[in-house]
Amino acid sequence: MKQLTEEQIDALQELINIGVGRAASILNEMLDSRIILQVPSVKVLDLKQLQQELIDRFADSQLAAVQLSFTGSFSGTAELVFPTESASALVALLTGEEPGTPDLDLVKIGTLSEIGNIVINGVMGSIGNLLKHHMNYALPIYTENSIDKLLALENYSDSTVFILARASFTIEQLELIGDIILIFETSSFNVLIEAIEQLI
Amino acid sequence: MDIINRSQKEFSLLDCIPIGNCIIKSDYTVLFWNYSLEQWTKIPREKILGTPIDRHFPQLKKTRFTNRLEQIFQGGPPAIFSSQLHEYIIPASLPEGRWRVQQTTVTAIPALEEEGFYALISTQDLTDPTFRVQEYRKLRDRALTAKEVAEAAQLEAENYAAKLVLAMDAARMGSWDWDLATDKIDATIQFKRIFGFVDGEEITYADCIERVHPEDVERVRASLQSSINTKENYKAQYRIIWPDGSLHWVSALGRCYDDGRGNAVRFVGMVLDITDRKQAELQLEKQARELTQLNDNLTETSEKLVERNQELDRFVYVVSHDLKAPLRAIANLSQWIEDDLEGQLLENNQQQMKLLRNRVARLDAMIDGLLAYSRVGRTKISEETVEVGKLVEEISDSLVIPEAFTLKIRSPMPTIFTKKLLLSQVFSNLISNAIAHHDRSDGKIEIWATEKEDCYEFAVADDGPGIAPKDRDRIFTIFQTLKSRDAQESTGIGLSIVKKIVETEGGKVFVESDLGKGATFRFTWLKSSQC
Repeated sequence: MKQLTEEQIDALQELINIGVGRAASILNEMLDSRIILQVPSVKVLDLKQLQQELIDRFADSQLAAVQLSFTGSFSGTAELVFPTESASALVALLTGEEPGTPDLDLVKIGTLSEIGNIVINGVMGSIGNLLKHHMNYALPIYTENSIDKLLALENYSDSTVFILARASFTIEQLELIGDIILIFETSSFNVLIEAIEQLI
Repeated sequence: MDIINRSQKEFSLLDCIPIGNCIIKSDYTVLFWNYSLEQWTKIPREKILGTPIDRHFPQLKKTRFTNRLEQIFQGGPPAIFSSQLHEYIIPASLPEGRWRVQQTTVTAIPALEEEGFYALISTQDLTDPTFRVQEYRKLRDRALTAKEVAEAAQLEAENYAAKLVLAMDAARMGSWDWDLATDKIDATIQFKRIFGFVDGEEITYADCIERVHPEDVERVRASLQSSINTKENYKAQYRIIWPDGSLHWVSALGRCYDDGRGNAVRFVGMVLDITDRKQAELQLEKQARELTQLNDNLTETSEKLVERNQELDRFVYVVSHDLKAPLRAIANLSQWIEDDLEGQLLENNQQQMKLLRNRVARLDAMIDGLLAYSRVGRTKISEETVEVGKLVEEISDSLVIPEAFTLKIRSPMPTIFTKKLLLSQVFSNLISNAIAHHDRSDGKIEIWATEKEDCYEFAVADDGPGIAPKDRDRIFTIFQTLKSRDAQESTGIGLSIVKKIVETEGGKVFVESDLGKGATFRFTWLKSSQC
């Protein structure tokens, strides 16, 4: 895997931040609560590194994820991953409901899907603008699982590149951490890096 | 063909799916409005096609919607609008009038005949699942509350139970819980201690019943069974024998519980060690029995005593009565002899005859005295109002009092309702006694009364020779005289009559005296209850 330079990583982070920023403004406009979205760190990892990183962080906990796959000359998957408890708390806050049980039901799933959708769309919009490329998008999928099942790691090879961006959601003294994971095959990843190079 | 007509052909498949679908151009003109949407919104396609969608649904012009649609018109990723955050994108109602709960997804589809994209709005109906979820939540919350209430109640019950155990411990009461099915008894440490079990022992009904005293065990068993049958409260007192052989008394209370279908399943109760109490009770019973026995003995004795006294009195009366006749005869005969032999008797014969008559007279007097003594308490004397002062005066008038003697009656003297005759006899005897035993002719006698709570204390005091301490009790004894009979005329019966009368009437008589210091005779006389 090609190692990124510091500048490249900074640029990548900036790219994602812009996307997340857009998502934040949409969310703020939509919701009663003031929400602050930040992406303090971005890492580029291979499969093993990603596994380690996520297992360290999430261990056995159940995760909720919104996935968006895109195809074409530039293909990959963008995911927003939350521990189900955090996801539930977030939904409760945003819908003004009592933070009751942590079970994610149909209604909550819809809400979480939308939030995930807004964030991912923000990031993809940012990438799309950069690439000036049309991408074909599949319908967003909501899923819940443990980390290893979620990443369906058997689908990926040693050549898959993972971009891991931690996103912090701050709403009314509540801070939640979700992870934005962008998954690319090497060829697509290279396309992305080349475009980023243009920026720097 | 205009774009709208073309759209109907191109997108006709959308009429076959159970999802509300509509397609809008980037200027928000409606190009397609499927069958489901027609049904849900009651808006026929002819009415809406070719018009801006916000004319029918103004909320779609809001930025929260348009901002995200912008990306779609540029070919961006699909946008999801959840039912929670956006209630009605394209509001639709159910047959019964409720609003449908929807989730809307907007995807970009390539435009027809031009560059760019259309927005395909797909509305899914989540009403049923949403309501079901809400109902489920309500039930769940209710169950949680019920659970919390139950837990709080449980906690309170546990606290209460703990307090109860403490209280029972302090009172040295043990509690037991007998599972009728397994025969096991769940018992507190106190219970085990009372029954002589070791603290950690597991015990059963059999273990406990075998400790019950053989004489009590049937009764206890029957009592427990009766309680199980009738569901009435169980109460019993019985003895238990510890392994070390010691005997203990136990008081037990209990209640039987059933399983709701009438089958007894559980017997719960308390025990208290009452050994100390029981022993005290038994002791008391024993003492009560002894007391009753004593009392019976006493009554018997006292009855016998009364009988004896009565016998004695009768005897004395009969004897003295029978003695008097011959005595009279002797007196008469001796007189006749003396008369017949007048002038013929020698000096000392005359003296002897005189002595004979004296002795006869004395004997007569003694018999009279005995008779009088025996009569005391046997005849019924009536009660009357007596002015004691006056009574004493009457007595002193009737007695032979030497010239130089003074009799002083100190006032006040009470007026009492009593047996006049008896009181009179007492005073009479005491006064004549005082005179008879005085050593001077100018003696003084003083009489007074002291009122006490339930009696009067009368005193007859003289300034005579007094009585030596050793004689003070003796003088009240019948026939006792301090000097020889020859030296005085008394029969020695007067004071004994005083004592008998006073004591029969519930009083006491005693003398205060010393040699050379005079004598004060005091006696108490009960106040009549009829006063």
